[in-house]
Amino acid sequence: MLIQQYRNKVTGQVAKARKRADAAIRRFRSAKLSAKARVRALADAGQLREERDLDQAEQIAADREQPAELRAALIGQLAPRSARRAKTLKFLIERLGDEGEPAPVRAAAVSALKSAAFQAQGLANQRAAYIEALRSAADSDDRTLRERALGVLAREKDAPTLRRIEQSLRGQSDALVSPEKALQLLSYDPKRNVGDLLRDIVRNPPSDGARHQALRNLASDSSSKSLFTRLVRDKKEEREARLIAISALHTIDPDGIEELASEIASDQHEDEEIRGACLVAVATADPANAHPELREVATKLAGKASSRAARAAAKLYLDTPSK
Amino acid sequence: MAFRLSINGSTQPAGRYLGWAPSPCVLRITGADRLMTRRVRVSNVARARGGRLVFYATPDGPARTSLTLPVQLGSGTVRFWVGGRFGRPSRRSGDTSIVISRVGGKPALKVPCMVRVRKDANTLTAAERDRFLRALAAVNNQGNGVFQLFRDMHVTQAQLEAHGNTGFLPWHRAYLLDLERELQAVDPSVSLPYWRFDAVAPRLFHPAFVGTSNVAGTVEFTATNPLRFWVTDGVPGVIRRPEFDTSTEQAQSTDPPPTLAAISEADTLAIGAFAGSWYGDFASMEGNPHGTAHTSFGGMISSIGTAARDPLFFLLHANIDRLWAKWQWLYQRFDPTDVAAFTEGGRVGHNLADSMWPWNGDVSAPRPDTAPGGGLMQSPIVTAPGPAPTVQQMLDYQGRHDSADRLGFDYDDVPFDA
Repeated sequence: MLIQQYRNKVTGQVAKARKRADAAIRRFRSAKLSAKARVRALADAGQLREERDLDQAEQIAADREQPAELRAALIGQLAPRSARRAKTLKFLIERLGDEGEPAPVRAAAVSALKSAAFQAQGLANQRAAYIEALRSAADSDDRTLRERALGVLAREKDAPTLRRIEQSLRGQSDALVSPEKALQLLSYDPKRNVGDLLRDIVRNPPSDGARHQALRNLASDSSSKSLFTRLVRDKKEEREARLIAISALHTIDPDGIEELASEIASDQHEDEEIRGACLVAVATADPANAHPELREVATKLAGKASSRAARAAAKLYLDTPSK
Repeated sequence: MAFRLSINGSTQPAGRYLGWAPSPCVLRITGADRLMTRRVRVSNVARARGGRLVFYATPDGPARTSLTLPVQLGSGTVRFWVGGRFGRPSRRSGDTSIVISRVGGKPALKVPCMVRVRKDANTLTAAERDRFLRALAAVNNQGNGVFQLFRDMHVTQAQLEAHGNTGFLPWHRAYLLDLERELQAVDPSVSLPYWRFDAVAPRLFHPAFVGTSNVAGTVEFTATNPLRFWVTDGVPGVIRRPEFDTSTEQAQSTDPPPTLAAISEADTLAIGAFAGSWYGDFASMEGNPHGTAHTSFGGMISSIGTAARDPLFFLLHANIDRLWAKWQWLYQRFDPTDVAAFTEGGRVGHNLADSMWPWNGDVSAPRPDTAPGGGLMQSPIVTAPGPAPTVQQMLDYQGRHDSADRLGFDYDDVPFDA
């Protein structure tokens, strides 16, 4: 297609989008329509922009007589512009923190505020109230709302929240989320001093997922080097744990892991996928030519491995450009 | 008779990466036959499915599939420009070549090149995808690589440098460019793909690419995916919980219902169109689709302070940048002196003449008190923007007003038309 034709095509698409959005906004503004019909119109409106439309949306969202889903939909529409309207941010934070609001409304407020947070300044000015509202939502009986709120708080490294999560894993308080999820949330604070807890979970895991996440959280803990080395070498150990261990050793012992990974990749009695994964691990860190014997191993694996994944890994190693 | 061709100022292979915007070429003819060669023909030969080239006698002249040019007497040089033919990018290095012939004679020189542009991630071949992932994993180096510096640039403490103001788009353009150049230092055939979040992208959200999420939000990769060993902040793995079905739906928050979708490309380009398409209006896309795309997930990518830990972040922002580039093309908003092309934001770092943190190394208030990463990475094909880019230098990325401002990247669906 010629560039001018392409330009005409794109211009046409934009003009069509504008027309559709203008019609949708007119429907939204129409007092003759039901609230439900007006909100449905917003799906075609693109983004609400004018202050009067945002005011209208906020008014309907505040109306507790309206169905929760409808109000949640309008809260979503407020999200993109909310960062530039202090009163809307305040409104959203109040919905989030109000235990009398239905869970869908509060959860929509979490999403809207997360989106507003990407525009920085507005929410920064109301941060204390925002965090407090999130903490309130973290106590909700509604699992979705609780997990959403906890996720934001953990990523914000909110100290009281992280302490609660740690205590729940230690059995000192009620569990807020599953052990795997709790460990995921703790991973946002990698400097947290919970090595003893993590090693205990590795030894006595409540679930496979929790064990794997505990291993990931330990990945930068140099005192766990012997644990990871043992896991990598143990052919009876489950594959996922061994793969996490290979990655952890690359952080803790970058010189040692290349030797170890090379040794495992060369072991013809080893799990082919583990061998392949070791080749991938070495390939991301080491020029292919630095280990000529490994190149020979990879060549054989690429041709003869019964596992497709292992053959692909070997080929990836062979295709890795030298530095 | 010796023919030597320099592309982008270099006779080395490193210079042979092209986009849509014209790159300068200088052909030098030396030896005894120099005086016998009055004219040369410049043309293109390509592999099937390879990139296609067009040539320009002057950088603002019409594009041609071949040129016949006079040789300058005395110096034995020929100057021309070359670019990719819009719609026909390369798939790998060397799949297209510049051919130089004496007029009426056989080819005297054939120089393999690549038309390297940023593509829709969902359309990459397996080879293109794997080259990108290998380069990205090499830069990460399981947590020990320079990627950690990129992660450290996008943190809560520095959010005002890059968000909530008009410098949002220029800052992220520089950020992506810096990372892309690091990737190209590993493998020059690589460019940053973009995630078209207003469309379904099942090939992108796949264990062989950016991964799929289990119930807990832990991202799973194939055993051979280099991202298998992705590490940030000393912790392996990626936490990403989509709120939509990544195999059948576009980016949107549906959990809990109802739905808030990232607005379409057409709706994004239409922002502010009712009032003349000024940058100040367009920059509101930071809310939707940008914020909406981020928060159509839970996990790392859904918060400013952790978003850059997820490799998907860079593909998300490549699409944001592509939308800006497309808006610029549609409304011709490349000239920094055009008041519709950029609106100054007031705060330092958000005005045309301001240099941008962290590349400027400025740690005096109100800037953050650290500046990770040093200067912006240099490129073998262009000199712009230099190690400490300004906001202004991010606008004319194709060098339409001044070819020296070209930044060395293009998008597959945003053309260059002089």
